[in-house]
Amino acid sequence: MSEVRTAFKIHLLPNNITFICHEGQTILDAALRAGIELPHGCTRGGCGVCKIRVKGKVDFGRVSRAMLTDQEKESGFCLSCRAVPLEDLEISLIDGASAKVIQHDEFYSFLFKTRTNL
Amino acid sequence: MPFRISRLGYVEVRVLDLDDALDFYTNVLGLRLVERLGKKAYLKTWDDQLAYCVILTESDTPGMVRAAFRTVDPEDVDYYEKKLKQYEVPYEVIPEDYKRGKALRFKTPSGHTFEIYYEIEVPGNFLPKESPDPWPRDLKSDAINPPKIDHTLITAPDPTKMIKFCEEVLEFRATEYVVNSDGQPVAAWLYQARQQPHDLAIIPGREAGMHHFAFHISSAQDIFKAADIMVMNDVKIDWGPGRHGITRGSGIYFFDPFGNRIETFGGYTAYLYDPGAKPIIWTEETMGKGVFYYERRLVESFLTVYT
Repeated sequence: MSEVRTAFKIHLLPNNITFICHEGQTILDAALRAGIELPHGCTRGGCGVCKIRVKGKVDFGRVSRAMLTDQEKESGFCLSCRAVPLEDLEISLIDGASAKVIQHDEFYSFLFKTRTNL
Repeated sequence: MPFRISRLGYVEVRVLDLDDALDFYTNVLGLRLVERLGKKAYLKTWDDQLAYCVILTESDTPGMVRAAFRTVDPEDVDYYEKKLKQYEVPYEVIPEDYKRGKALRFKTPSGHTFEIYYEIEVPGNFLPKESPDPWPRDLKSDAINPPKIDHTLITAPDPTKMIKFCEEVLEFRATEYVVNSDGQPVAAWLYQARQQPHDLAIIPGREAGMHHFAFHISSAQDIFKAADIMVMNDVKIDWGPGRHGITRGSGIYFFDPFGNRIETFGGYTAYLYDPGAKPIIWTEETMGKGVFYYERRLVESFLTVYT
């Protein structure tokens, strides 16, 4: 019997990649585990380095108001290290560039096809 | 010239949730809670003689509220008041604060709030005054338990100006500089009467930014145990355990639950800086090794990630 977990799909542009984020998991954690190198710093909502554009509902989490203002929340930004999806999302980097993607088969994940960063 | 500042006395740091902060700062870092008063909590290390060395204040944005330096003698506060007047630095006299007497409060060219004070309650450390053992028996065995606050590294939009201010007005001495191609210091490690590698350091960056504040952990055994405790508690480690070329200190950069960077710092092997000796110089080419000695390069996060 496998446990059924709620999951949301996150579509990353312009890479055009979709990855899975489990309920309660942050966008950053899901991305890194999928081999997608979203920029990040303190991973605790303080430094603002992981700010991305987001379309869709998220729980913004506990973040620095200086690094993510109320206006930014309303205009579609979030800190990926704290933001938890509440529905399927579309995300992109602030500058619109492609995110770096690690090919699993290139190195160490050949055993488990997964990686942990946090 | 005599030393008139003894050390970094306390830092006030903003946290997003005081309950969670206290859990981290007491149970993981191992500071002792002195008192919680509303949205503020006062804490100290086990070997601190003074009333407190860290103030946590609940806010919606992490970062530094103020850094306070304690003078060697009471009259040194008057000396600095004259100096602030002489250099036309606007300041306030704060008559008293929690367990503390008079302080001079002013804004630095980097936008930070600094205080200079002497009077503070001196309840002593957590050891008896008579024939003490080397450490208290009731240290939490799975906490980091640093004995003392060490230094803070802050960011300045015009670091050269801020370094000059700290040297001329506050009379910090430099142990080490990073200089640009014109020979101007763009980062500095500055000390006072304790004559340790630094009480205060300055690097380029945002106004009023706090790169980190540090607690002393010196032996390799204690450094690795501190790193173990961080992993056991899911604390995000930013760098280390590693060594800095600058200061020769060994340490760990890690984040509190709100992204404030903290360092365990110590083990600066045989670091002796004699007043009058020339400061050590690092350049743009060598500063990678200066900051992260084993990695030999500056990672971007050193200059971009802070509160």
